[in-house]
Amino acid sequence: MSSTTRRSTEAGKTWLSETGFPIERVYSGPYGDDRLLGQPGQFPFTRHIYAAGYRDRPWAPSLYSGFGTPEDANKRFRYLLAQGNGRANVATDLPTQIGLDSDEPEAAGEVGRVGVAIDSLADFETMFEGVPLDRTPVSFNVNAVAPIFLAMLVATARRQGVELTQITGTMANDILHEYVARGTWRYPPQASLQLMAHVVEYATAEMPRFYPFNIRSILLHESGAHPGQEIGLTFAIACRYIDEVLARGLTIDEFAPRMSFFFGMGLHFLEEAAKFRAARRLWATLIRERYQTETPASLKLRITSVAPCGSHFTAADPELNLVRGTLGVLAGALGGVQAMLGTTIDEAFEIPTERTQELALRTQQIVALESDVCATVDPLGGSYFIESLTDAIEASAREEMERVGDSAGVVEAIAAGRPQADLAARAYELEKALNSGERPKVAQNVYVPEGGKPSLRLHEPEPGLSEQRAQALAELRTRRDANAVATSLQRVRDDASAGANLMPSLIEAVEAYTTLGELSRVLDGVFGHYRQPVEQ
Amino acid sequence: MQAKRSAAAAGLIGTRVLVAKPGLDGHDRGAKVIARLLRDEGCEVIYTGIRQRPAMIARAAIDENVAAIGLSVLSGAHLSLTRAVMEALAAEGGDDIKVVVGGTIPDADIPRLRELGVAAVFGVGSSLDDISCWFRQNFA
Repeated sequence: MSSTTRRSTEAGKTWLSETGFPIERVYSGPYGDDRLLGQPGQFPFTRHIYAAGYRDRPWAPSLYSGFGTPEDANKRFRYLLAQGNGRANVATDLPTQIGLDSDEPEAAGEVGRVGVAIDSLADFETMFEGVPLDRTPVSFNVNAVAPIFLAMLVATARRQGVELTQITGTMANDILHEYVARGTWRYPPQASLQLMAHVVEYATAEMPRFYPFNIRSILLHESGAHPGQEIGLTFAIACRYIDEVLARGLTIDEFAPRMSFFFGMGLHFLEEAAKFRAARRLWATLIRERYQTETPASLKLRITSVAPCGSHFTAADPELNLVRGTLGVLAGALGGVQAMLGTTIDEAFEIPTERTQELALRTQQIVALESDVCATVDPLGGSYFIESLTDAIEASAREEMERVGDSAGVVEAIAAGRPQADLAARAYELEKALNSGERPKVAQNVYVPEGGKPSLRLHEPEPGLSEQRAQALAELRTRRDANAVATSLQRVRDDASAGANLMPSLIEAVEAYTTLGELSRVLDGVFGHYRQPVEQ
Repeated sequence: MQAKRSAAAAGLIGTRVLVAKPGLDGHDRGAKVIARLLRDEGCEVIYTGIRQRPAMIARAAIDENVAAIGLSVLSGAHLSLTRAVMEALAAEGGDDIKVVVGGTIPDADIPRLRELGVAAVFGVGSSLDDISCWFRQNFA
């Protein structure tokens, strides 16, 4: 064999982090100020929000599910809870998310597709049958209809004989992100911000264990944001929410401890772990400086993450996505998140089956129980590379926050489409890098398998769902007390016109079995409809 | 590479394309990427924004005199929404417009979309090269 000179794979390559920072070949100390790091459970919470980390409070697996009818969703929730899922994390269909009843023409084709179809309290009762609300945390990824959903949750708890003080879980209640991405808006921003505040006011007074916010930077990640953009725009939005709620007379310590966040993540798990650490430190610092509070509970950033975002999963050789899922769980665990959703291997094709959700759940359980990742708090703390990345991401996030106009200017920036344009530009660059192979994706642009790919058994949508749901609605409308419906709708209209908190009248209305669509149309009459600006 | 790209772009200059999001799905990352790609290829791209009704998409395509419509659906409602767009196009005399569909499309639905008259389907993982190639072959 002739000896040849080994060709360096380092030479000529630029090593960049996801945010775009140059990565050094090796990192050495000193890396900065120990005071910025602190100890777990202490300001600025870089290392963890709890002193004992996962030893005392493991993260909660929170698989997101729901499809078809409330009966279908109920069955899946109960199955997943029995397998160790930490909550019923409700995925609703698109008509529900924007306040349409299943029998409205715009809902055609979408009923029960990406989540469960909910039209009235009757559906909530079915969905949570055998799911006791005093013992099971429940989460809702709804925004435009958040007040109506909170009313249905309250009414369902009452029917189950559960005190409101016992309900745990989250309501996304995060409308501003919907104008940037995902698009399940209904009302114009100012009206939506009022509705957001109604939910927070009511939950703060009546439901002390419930989180009336789960603010979703994940939508930004999925639209192309890098870590600093994800944190920066989200914190500008979150501070806007805080300012709106404070303006209604609440104090920061009354509701900041009940804020939670839902982050995205990719497969660069070291940088993602650093992102969560940077986000915790920046949040604690911002809240302390801006809102003059020293209360630790108000300063702690509570993080739900997904493991990882669906956009990182491939259609090519989809079983490989299980490995990507493991990297995602590692990112969340090393970053110290409190709850994790799991992306399923069939993400590129369909909503998940029971089997693919089970695989995602077991991935989390294996990492938690069979590895040492939970044995010590913030195992990456003190790593030169991680601390350097944490510092750099925090600085980048501050810059992005300023770029989008901070809390005062963020609504206007979104209305002008500025953050959307930034994200679309980066998404295009990422796609070009995939196309050129500069960003490798195994089985998609490198090591592409010859011949056919293994096929998965996919979720099969139930035929005739729209008709079935329309029938159920027709029956509900004949069964309920028409006078109670009319009276309660009128009260909602009056309260909305008067600017009163809508929660009491919404609860009364849902208890009379008014539908989501009926309530949404009444509110249209007061608040109007949002029209998306035409994009160029 | 650069020269090849601009030569190809010359072939698509002036090709009018409507990129549309039918139904209620608001996941518009893919649609915007495609709009940018086709603009870089020289096309005149009109992007509708989200939540467009099939009839409005067909109307806009005919009014704007486009050669192709790119539909993007990630909600699983691609079959019914595409059927509605195809029917509206046929009813309005726009059957000469080529329709392509992208999004989260299960393999089994590709032949079903083709049966509806869809010219091409680009699911998750389709490369930018695949897509621009198809447009060059059909319109350059």
